[in-house]
Amino acid sequence: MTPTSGETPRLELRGLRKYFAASGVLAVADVSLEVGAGEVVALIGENGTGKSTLMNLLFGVHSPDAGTILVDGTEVQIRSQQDALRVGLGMVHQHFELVPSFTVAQNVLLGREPRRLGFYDDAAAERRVAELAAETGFTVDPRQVVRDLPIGTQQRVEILKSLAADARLLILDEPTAVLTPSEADDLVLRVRALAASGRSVVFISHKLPEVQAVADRIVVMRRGRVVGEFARGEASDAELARLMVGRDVLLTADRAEQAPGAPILELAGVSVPPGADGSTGLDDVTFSLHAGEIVGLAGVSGNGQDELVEAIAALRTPASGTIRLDDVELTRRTPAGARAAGLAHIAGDRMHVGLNRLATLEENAVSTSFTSRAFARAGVIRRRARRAFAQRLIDDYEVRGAAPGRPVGSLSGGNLQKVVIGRELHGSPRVVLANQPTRGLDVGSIEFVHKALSAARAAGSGVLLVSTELEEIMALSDRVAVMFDGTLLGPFPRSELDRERLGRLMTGGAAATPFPLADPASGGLR
Amino acid sequence: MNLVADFLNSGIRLTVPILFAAIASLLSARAGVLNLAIESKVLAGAFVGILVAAGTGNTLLGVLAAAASGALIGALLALAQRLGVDLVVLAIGLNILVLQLTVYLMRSYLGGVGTYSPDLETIPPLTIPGISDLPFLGALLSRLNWSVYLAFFAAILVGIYFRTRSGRHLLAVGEAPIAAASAGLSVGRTQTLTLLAAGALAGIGGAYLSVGDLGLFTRNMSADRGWIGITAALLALNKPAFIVPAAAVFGFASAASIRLQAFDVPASVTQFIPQGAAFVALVLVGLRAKSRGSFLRLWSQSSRIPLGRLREPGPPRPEPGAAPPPESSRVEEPSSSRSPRG
Amino acid sequence: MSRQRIALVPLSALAVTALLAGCAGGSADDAAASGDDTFTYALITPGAAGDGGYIDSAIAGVELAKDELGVEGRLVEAESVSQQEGVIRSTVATQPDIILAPGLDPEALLAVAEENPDQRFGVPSDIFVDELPDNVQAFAINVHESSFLGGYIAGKMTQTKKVGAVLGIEAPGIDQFYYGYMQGVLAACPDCTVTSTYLNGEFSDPAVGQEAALALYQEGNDIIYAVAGLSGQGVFTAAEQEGAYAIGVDSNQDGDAPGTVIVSVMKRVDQTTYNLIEAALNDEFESGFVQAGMAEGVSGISWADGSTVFQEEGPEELASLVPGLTSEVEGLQQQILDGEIEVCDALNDPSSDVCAELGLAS
Repeated sequence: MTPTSGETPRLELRGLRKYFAASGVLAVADVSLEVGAGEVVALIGENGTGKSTLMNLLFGVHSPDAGTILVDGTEVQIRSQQDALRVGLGMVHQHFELVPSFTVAQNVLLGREPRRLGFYDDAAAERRVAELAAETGFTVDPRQVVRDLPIGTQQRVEILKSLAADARLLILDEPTAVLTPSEADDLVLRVRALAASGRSVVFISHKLPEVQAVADRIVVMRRGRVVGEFARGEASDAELARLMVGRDVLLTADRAEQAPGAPILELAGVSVPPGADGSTGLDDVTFSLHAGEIVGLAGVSGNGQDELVEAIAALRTPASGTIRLDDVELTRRTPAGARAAGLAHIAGDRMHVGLNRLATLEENAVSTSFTSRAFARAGVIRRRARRAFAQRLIDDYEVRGAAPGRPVGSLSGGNLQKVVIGRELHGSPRVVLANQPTRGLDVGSIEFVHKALSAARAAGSGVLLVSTELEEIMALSDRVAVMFDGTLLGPFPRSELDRERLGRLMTGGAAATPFPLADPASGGLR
Repeated sequence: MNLVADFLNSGIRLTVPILFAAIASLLSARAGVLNLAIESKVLAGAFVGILVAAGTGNTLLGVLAAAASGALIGALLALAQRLGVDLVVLAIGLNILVLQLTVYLMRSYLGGVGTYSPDLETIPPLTIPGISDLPFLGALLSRLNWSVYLAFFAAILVGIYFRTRSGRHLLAVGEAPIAAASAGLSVGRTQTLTLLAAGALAGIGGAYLSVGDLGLFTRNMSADRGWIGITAALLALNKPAFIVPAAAVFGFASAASIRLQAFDVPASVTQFIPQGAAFVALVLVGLRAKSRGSFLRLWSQSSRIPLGRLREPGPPRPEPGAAPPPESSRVEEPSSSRSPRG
Repeated sequence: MSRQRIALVPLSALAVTALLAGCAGGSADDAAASGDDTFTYALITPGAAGDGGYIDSAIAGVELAKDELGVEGRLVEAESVSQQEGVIRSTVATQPDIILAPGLDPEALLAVAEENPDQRFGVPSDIFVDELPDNVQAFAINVHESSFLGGYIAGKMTQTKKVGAVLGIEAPGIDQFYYGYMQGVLAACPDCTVTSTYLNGEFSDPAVGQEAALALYQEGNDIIYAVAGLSGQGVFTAAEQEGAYAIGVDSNQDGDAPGTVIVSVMKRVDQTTYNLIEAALNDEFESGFVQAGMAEGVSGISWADGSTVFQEEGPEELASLVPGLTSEVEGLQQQILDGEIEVCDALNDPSSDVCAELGLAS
């Protein structure tokens, strides 16, 4: 088990335990773990398996009920992120902790700024950050303002922050979730380089390919326990997935070849002007969706996907162009009218748009159809029918922890999404709009969503799947389109695309830039 | 007769209390607190200032006491902020409370009904040798005491302060409290100290009114200058470089509405000038999406009354995959989100 | 989330309680004291005490009535117009012998009055309506006449032949003061000019009053009539700073800036309030408007009340004019009361010839 036998591990956890009395959950159950100097350890597991709690114990957010933390062989007490940093543990969160209006240098050296004559010494700070960036390979321009930087670069700033504080062990929490494929590849290289320079890295992720690429060792957690530990190359993706979920998981969707039917959704020249808040508009989008096919819509988020989905769902009126579902012109419909025409919408924001968290499950289940004859008679709700429908939804979709009369707010993300999908796919819709349907879900729930979308396709629905996860797009789609800066590229048959080509399309065509440069016109006043 | 110089002089003097209030609002806003209690701080400063100045016969002590009273209200806000009390509701309560309390104290202990007018030498104007005799500058700079210069000095000082290390920390705390906390900065302490300083400045602004020139206190004599200061800070986009011109817009609008009547401009037109300035300022701020966004953010940090759905101001497009964090299942892992309020 | 929201409730309740404790002060015990046989009043004000104007005057009036007439009663505040109708209704339910309502929203007041014909209402000043129900008695105080006297004194005392006025707002109720004053100035000094500055409705902003007065003094005016509530205090300060003079209004303000305030034009809301209570107590309550002025002692100048502040503290060359002017003004007052002098009433009769002569466009 000990990777570098004989040497003191950089970080050692001995029997860490955390029990949350309020919820009665044993979140971390006697976890022991070692990370050696210069080692990259990947920590994988579904959401809610205790990874975050474990990290929170390391950073003083919670204190352990039992167990000890040793850094370089010395037991340490950590009560805050500052304590952690003092002993050399640096954390890069999923949401970056940066000050948007500060420069890179000011952010990296926040709290430890160089001073001259009592004033903040920008020049010295920039010099130091530039040196650090050159040394570690996380190249950034120290003078740029963080707000103007792409997410991938912001992440580098965040990593540099820890490095500037002399962190000898970095914890990266789902670091690739926000990156484009090429940025993710680059990050893997940089992490390896960090390890080569003697720093240790804990890499939290659920994307198995990158985990396999980056880690010296892979630790799998389930239900608060370490359930497996493998050296690089020891375990296959399938094995790891089975350990994480506790059963076999289909990593590629099971899809029968199927000839697409007639076009059912046709967009012609749809344009939406860019919003004042900096949102991308749509520029002359034309494509059609056929019955019985899934069209994947890839792209870095914020390139117009939400606007496109909203336009089709009649939540947003395009400035020009037509959107026809069969023979119905959707641009002149209300959202309810679009639904009546056979549109189902799995909203990207299930917490606020897809569901009403304060309402009960049965109210949510019929919220798009409560005026239909099935649930209402002469304007009066048929409670029994509604309850029966909700119960069937719970049973069919295995919504755990749910009851028809209880508010849905207490359900986990995966179960919330099951409620949405159960509602939307009921009654064989003609067109299914699925906007980021697996965002934030764990492996088991993702599998469920994929199955549900494939089933809709098999039943003859046309599915538009918007996702930032390339694996998902590639696994499910018959054809793939890419959104970039409000323009739709494609759709292309899936067979014509590979990861690299998709990555290039997502970043603005054939350009060699690894990620798009900020458009100066949209920078606005500062 | 020096019409222009007299007008400018009048404008400067009407700007001063607004400027103090605006700096107080700017400081609070930049530290991440929506401070709507400035009106009460100005009024408290005016009241306490003249009380102490009259009691001790020393205007400087009066101004210091006014600063202390404003800081005390600031401390109240800071305490409320730490306890998680809704600052907007509290501030509105404070504004009413201080108004009625001053009236009550004036009636009960000072014998005045609407006015407390003690025998008091106000702060004497500064006479600058050589300049006071010049025709234009002399009129322009007449009747200005040291607290006038203090206001403009404070504006410059804040600009300089933001370039120091601790000023940077204040900005970081206000803009990204979690980032600041993770860098080891104390969010609570920074906000508390800022609210104290802002309160003191607003209090001095009140003292300028009562001790500085008039030598008397009247019911509600702050006359919305706290609110105008907040508006001016908004107009200045909460930037020190713009705060003097923004406050001056309102001070000079008020002076213009008085002085223009001498040129037979009807009162029905002149009375629109101050209100019109405030209206135009707020419309300008409201039209600017970013200002709206930062105001909403400020509001949501200080109040639980929803003002509208907050759209995170993201980086400029194209914005690489800003996927929100996966929701941790809330049953198994209690929320570990660290609130900067602690 | 919801727990935190609940936490606000006690806090705001605290603020409100403190507020009530702060301003309702001594009135709670008065309410309890009303027995069956004692005459009771209720005074409803559109704001808290401390306005330095008619609210404070009305309170002084009921205090005087309590001392002199032995009546009992209570003070009710209705800060916003939207509350007023509800407050009036609930006050009616307590059945006081008379409800005194200075400065309330006339619509609310008259609506409740018409619904409750047995309840007597008294309005000590300023209700701008054409007709009153049978159970309402209202005073209209003729401030234009006393303002004329103030203006006459200013016209006699000005050394620059330029006098001014700082007015709270451009409205008929304020113009009633101003045009009477202007007419008085011109009567004493036909080649004088009278200039006014309005304060955009700022009645409690002495700093603005000070700036407005300063502007007028810088233009060469040496006496300013301050008809601007508490903002008038700023006029007095400016006068002191500039070595110039002012004329006070509403109450006797001669002592607010001794030697600087020459005279005050008084509008005795305390007296009308007292008169209303006294009339109701003695069953002399009569519905309708009571035009009252100098003859009834509810309007006049402070000198007539025996104020000698300016005579004692003013500069010799002006103070020495006071005795002569006092008798001159007494003569003028008699002429006004006899109808020999008609003074422009910009509130009730703005289209009269005298007003037209002063340039009032009706």
